[in-house]
Amino acid sequence: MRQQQSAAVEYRRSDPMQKSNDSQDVVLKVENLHKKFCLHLRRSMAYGVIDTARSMVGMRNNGQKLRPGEFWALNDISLELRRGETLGIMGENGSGKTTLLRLISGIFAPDSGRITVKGRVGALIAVGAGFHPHMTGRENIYLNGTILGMTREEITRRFDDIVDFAEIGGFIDAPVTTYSSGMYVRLGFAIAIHCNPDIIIADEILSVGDYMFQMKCFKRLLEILETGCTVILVSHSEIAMRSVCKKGAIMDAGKLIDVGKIDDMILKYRSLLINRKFGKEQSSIFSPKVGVSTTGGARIYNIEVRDKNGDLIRQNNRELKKLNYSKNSQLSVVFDVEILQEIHNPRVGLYIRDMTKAELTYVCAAVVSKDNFNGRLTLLRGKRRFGFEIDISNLTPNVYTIMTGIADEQYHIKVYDCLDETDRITFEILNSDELVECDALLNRPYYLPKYKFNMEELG
Amino acid sequence: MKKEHTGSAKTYPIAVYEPDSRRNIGFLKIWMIMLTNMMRSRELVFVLFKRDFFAGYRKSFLGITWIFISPVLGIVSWVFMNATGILNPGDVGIPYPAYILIGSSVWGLFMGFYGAAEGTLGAGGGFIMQIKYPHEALLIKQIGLHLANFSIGFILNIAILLVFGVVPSWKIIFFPVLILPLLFLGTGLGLVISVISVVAGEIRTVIGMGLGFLIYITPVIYSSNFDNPLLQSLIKWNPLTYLITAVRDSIIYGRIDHFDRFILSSALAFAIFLFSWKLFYVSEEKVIEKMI
Repeated sequence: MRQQQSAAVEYRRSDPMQKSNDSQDVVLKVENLHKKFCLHLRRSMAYGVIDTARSMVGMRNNGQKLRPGEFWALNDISLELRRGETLGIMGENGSGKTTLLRLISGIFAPDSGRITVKGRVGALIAVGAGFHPHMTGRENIYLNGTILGMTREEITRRFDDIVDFAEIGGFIDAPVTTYSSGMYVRLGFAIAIHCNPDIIIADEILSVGDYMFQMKCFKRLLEILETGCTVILVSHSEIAMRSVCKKGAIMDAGKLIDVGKIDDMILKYRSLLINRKFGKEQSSIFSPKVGVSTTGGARIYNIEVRDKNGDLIRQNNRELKKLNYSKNSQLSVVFDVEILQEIHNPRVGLYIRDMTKAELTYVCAAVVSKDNFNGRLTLLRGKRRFGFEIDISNLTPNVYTIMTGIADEQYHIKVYDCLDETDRITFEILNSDELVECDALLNRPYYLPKYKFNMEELG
Repeated sequence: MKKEHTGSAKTYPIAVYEPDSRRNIGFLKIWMIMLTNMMRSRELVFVLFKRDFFAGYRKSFLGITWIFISPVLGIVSWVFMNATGILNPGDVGIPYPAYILIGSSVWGLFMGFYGAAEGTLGAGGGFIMQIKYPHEALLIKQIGLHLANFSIGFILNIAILLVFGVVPSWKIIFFPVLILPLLFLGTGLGLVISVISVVAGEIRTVIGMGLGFLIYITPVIYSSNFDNPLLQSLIKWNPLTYLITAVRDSIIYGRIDHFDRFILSSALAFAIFLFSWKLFYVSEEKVIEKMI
């Protein structure tokens, strides 16, 4: 089989026309896949005994039904990949990503459903599998390479590339136990990535080694993609996902929630996480503050966010609309505050952050009298509405959080009231045709945008 | 891996993974699949064998010399017992020390086959959950390791016999053939236990103790010339009696007593082997996920 597989690789390389024909070719088909696991160790073993005994005497196991203590690690997954397609799978820890990869690799058997794989699968999951610590780097390359399915001759042919890639240099004839953990992992990864499989399954590959090595792995993966290889990538790195994958899939609690264009899926996954983090429902509109101490001298009780056309996109905890990415979009944020005690020389501000909590946009206005711009003003008790119109052209498709606050001139230490992340005043910018790739990967600096501010008294 | 047929569209191998798909494969087909898997994974068997056989000694000063030292140390105890006369309980009409030495060596061979097969899945070396490869390769590697260790000890044993003036029969050349039934029986039992013990660890201990007990109802450390009728019949119905004595006696005396029973026992061993091999193949895929 191995010879046949390598023949397949050569065959594909030598006939470029074949590639275009093959691009219509389904190389991976997952149909109604189910896999169940048991959380209790002893019970799991008992089920194991039963299942083993049943299969030994030739009885069928009922894969469709959960027994007590079992749960669906994979629940009705269906998926199809064509040759040359690249799929990024996102999902929280425990959502079933690795289990799915193991089933596709054929390590675990499905409980029901079916997987059809066409071509040699190379798993970048087990880096350094089977390494013997007392054997040299050279010997371990042959050992691990063979375990990964390469023939001796293939390994010899790629040996120098592997050593170069791993940057092991003179240490190649030293036992791997003397390697630093970084060298060890680099060597393991170098072997794995030189296997030249038809389908690459990569689980968090970008967490290997230092930054430079990660970039190198990345580059190598992109090179492999050029050859028409099919890739399934599991990663928490959106940059990795965006640059490698065209398709995205979201998994949650063993289910495949959605499959689609990678950019759409990344955003969808983000909103899923945000909704989960902050909960769907909230008893009071705004939660008590954590981290920021507020004096309680004011109370923000209403906030409205509108787009350039004045359409309401969020009111308090209700999201009404999503924005589409545009190169010059504006956001209007209006919030109503009940002033409970007099505030001298008030400041009103607003931050926009992304989910990494990077502050991307910040505006702060001193509230001054219309008649006397230099004069000091005291806000008397009563209700006020503050409004900002902000240029948000630096924001690319993502989910953002708005934080607002009211303070006096010592605003960095004394805040009367504020809305922070826990209040989840979020808005989402969706992908649009205006977005070009360089925008998506743009590093957006901390930004003081153009803005307009106004205040009005409320009855 | 369930059904694995190669070919059809283009030259890409196609693998189909389905629940219980190994269940439906015919008896002979399973054999073919497993034999092909073994042939294909011979490079894997070789590197794993090399790793386990040699790399273990890397960190010792004497290195691979230990491969020879260990059996020598084993023989020392025999030489001591022989010298003190413990092994010469009067006239039994045979070269008794040789009888014990070769007999226990053959018994060790059988137990080693069992142990090797029983450790098949456990020898997955940490990557059984990470990489897909035919696990049959592990069995071959295990047996290879055992045979390598055994042969060194065995050659030393024969050498020591020569030193003590016992010349083995020329029929020793049949040794590789005569041990086959022991291989079939040992690996047959071991393979099934290898799967079961993943989900029921106690089985390994229980069977291990049970097999250890078998040595008392097999004429290995004593000759079968005694009167206890119960023991007599136990020995008589124990297939190991014929499988082990055939190997030993062909070396020491150049003859096989009860050749018919030996053939019968061999057939039984082979049947057990065939059967357990199938059991292993259909059930091992169920337990891989439990190997945590």
